[in-house]
Amino acid sequence: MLRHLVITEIKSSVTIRNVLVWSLLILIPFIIRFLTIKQGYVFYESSEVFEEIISGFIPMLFPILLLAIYITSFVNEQKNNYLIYTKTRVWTPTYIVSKGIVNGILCFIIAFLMIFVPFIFAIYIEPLLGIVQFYPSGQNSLSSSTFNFLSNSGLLSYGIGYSLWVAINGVTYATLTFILTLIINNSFVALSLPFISYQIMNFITGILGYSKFSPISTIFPFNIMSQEVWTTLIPFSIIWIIILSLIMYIWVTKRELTN
Amino acid sequence: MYYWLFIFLILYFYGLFFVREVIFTVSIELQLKINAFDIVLSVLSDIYLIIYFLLPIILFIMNYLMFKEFNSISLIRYGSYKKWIYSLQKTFFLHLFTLIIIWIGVALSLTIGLTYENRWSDLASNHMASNYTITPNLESFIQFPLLATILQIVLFGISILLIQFFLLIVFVYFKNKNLIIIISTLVFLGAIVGFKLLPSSFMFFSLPNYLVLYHGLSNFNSTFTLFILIGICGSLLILFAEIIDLKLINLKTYIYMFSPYLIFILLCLSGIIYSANLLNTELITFWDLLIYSFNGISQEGFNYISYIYYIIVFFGFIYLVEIHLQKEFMSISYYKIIRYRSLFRWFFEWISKVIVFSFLFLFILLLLTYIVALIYGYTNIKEINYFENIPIKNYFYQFFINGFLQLTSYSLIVFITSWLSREVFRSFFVVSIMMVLMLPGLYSVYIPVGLNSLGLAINGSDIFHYSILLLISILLELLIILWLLTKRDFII
Repeated sequence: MLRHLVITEIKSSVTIRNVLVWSLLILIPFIIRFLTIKQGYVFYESSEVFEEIISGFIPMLFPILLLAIYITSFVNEQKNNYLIYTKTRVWTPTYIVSKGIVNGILCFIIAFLMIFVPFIFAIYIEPLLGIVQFYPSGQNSLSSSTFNFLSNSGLLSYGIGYSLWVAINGVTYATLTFILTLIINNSFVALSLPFISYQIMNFITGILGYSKFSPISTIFPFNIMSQEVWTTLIPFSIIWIIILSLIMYIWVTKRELTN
Repeated sequence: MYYWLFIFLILYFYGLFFVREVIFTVSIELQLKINAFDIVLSVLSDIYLIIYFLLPIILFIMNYLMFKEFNSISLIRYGSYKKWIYSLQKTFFLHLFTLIIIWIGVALSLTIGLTYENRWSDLASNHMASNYTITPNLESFIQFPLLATILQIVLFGISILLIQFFLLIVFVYFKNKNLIIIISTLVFLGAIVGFKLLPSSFMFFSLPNYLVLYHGLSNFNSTFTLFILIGICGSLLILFAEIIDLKLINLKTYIYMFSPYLIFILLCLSGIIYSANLLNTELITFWDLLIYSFNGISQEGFNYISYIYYIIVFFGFIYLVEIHLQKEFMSISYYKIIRYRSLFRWFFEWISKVIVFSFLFLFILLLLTYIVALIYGYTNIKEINYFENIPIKNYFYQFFINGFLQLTSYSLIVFITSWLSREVFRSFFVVSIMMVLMLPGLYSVYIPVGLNSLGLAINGSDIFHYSILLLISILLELLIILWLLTKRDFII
């Protein structure tokens, strides 16, 4: 039943309009950022171009870009009392869980592509086009960020591995938002809360001098020095603890999630 | 009425023998002329007179009135604890007023035979005499003696009323007479201890600083600070009085309602404290702290922390505006619009509320900065040391006027997008795009975003240019709104 629901939901959400929105989400930040950095920056190799593209405003807006993917349609369903009409056909918790899974899957794919498309472009396509001028590297050692250990076994594995990391974080934030829309009645507050807390945590960790634990630098570690990998898992696991406790809360208090 | 006569006599004889005589002796010995204000100010700010004589009497009157009026008959007549508190304040104020009038009368009657002129006398202008009388100390802070007299009376009156306010709230909350008597005794003892024994680092808690202008000034170094502190205490007490009638369950909902604002204010405060810690040197003044905290974006370079602090503070405010707008959108109906007569009137009602609150918000930010500056000891509000080449009024203009225009512009953009999409959430995307437009690479001074950053005023660029740009953008947005409100049929 669950699998069937998930498949139909994914099928019904792949409309022309949605695909257009998704491709805009993947392309627009990347293209604008690339146009602003192609001149006036000093690059020694193409992986730096990739890192510079990613470190622009995708990090600033990350949780809010995820909202445009799928979750607003679920919020509209809640608002228009659509859930009541599904009650006769399917057990409501199953329906909601299927929605959560679809939200997670779609956010995973799109967050992955959001990183992976610029990667393919910067590493494989851009050198062919020759838009960016490279300087000979010489003595200047290459930039190293937290996830550069992935490139030991090839550049492509770095691209895929890092895109997967961002995609997993995308799922995390999307799921958090999804759970919050179930708990908070005011949909505006529920949708904006993850983004607000993302920025507030960036600020607080910044002023306390622990930028290495800030959400922005653990997902996109290009604005700080290379850190050890375990530091990136701290905010990630804190959010998952919050998500799990919220799920427990829903399970205990709102057994009948009908309205 | 006899006790007023008794008080009058004691005040008179004390003034005659311990104030007038001392000042006359000093003036003869130093060969310096005095005028009426030397006597008046000395009588009105005599710390021994206030602490050992007036304060006990005042505390006694307070307690007497409080215990007499706290019975079920008068409580029923007033209807709520809040009204009871305020009516008692009024009654007590009449007593206090009489006392102060007598006090002033005594002070004036002691000045017979001296010249009346609104300037400091020779004695007050001479710092040799500062060990014997208080007027030389006041002269260095306040230009006119009449002003000093008025400030002294106002300060004393307000502080006494606040003490009574505090006692009343505690009494209503705990309903325990013994507790009030203990607190009154502690206030009395605290005043003695604060006057004699407390080290200067505890000056915030020392009562004589708030009762005698001369003591307050010599400890805080500015009249402004003194009255700001009193204002903060007063507003806190008013807040308590407002919620004293609520039952505990209501209190919980109140806390729930106000917690977002509280968190927001704490975030604003934390950024200022961060800057204060960073700048921690002797030379820093209040303005340096303000400029560094609300630096935002500047043309010199990009500072991640100040950028994100700008976002937290100003876009945080816009987020609160959005929440308010959403409530407005949820409650909108044909009935409501009929009551407002037109959509325009409804819109202008909303925007004028936003305008008032943005002014208030900027003022609160100034106040918070001032408090932090005070705690860190950056009390100098007259100069700039760190960012010195630009006059202060430019920064003030940039912070207040441009800040206000910028917040209005943001709010109007939020309104337009929300109205177009019928959903406030869409405007959140627009706000996030505005955040991104402030990043280096995309930022240009021709986009009306982030133009109230104080960093833009540092290098002496034309701040009026920003105001004009903002005014144009506000005008355009208003035109769009007018067009939208006339064009579309109103659909709920």
